[in-house]
Amino acid sequence: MRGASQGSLPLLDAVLFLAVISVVAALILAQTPPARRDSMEEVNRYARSVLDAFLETTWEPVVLPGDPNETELDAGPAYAVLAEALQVGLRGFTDYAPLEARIGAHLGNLVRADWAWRFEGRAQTGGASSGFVAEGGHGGVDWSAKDYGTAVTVLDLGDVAATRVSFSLDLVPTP
Amino acid sequence: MLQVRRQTLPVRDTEVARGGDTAAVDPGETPEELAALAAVFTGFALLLAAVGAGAVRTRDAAEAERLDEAAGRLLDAFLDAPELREGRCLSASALNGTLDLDRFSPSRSYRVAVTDVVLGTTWDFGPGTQGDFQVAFGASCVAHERAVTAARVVVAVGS
Repeated sequence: MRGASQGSLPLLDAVLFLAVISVVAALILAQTPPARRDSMEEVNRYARSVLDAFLETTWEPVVLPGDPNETELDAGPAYAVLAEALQVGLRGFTDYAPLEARIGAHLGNLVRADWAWRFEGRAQTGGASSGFVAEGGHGGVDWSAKDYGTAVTVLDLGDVAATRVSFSLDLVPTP
Repeated sequence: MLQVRRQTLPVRDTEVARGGDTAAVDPGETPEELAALAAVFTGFALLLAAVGAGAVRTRDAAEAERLDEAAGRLLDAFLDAPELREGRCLSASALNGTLDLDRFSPSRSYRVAVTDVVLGTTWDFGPGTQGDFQVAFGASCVAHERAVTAARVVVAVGS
């Protein structure tokens, strides 16, 4: 009965009321809009378009160091050059470094600068397997912990050995 | 002996003048009351500002979502247009012969930029955008006479 006995608007109640409203207002105003992130669907779509574009590009001939002999791969679409290189790798030791350098140059220009990418090429036949992984783009990505978009292209070469060649591209936007 | 107990009742903001029907408004009797009223009005003002800011933020987020979807649709329509394609790639000659892409975005301003990452050529379509916009990123290959190159594709749409 403080108000009745004093005959005036209670100051303490008003201040408490103000405090509650101010806290609510501050919470609403302090809400920062969530940083816009591309949805996983968009990331997968982007990865698909990048991989398709990359594999269709025309490559100049490539020389692969190997044992016992080096191998010169003919010019052609990237997917054909890479598939041939992976088949060479199935037959013996092959150094894929020239391929990785060329992939890095192409994807480094094609993928958005603030994204990281990882490209894997692999060939399998029977019990044999050969392949390589190239990474680039914005560094510092822990691929084991990140959710990332993926696109995969599988080539069935139709040969007697039923060689299966696959290319995959992982993309992730970096903070 | 009759004793009269006098009691003073609290008088708030209004007081009826004796002998008349008029009411006078009293904004407060003490400085404490004035301070309390000011505090209440300030609180309401803050709350209204916060609610208004929240409403604007929600509206902007919804508009951004719509722009994002529009940019994605324009990107898909552009990359899938049969008249611009040669096999699985965009045709360089078709891009050279294209003046605009208004048919893909009749109601929004837009900008579509295709940049060949090997040759450095850029094809720009659209009048550009005004105000806030969202962008959609894609990639494609461009078929030239003798070679196929890769290209970045960026789409922006206006609000």
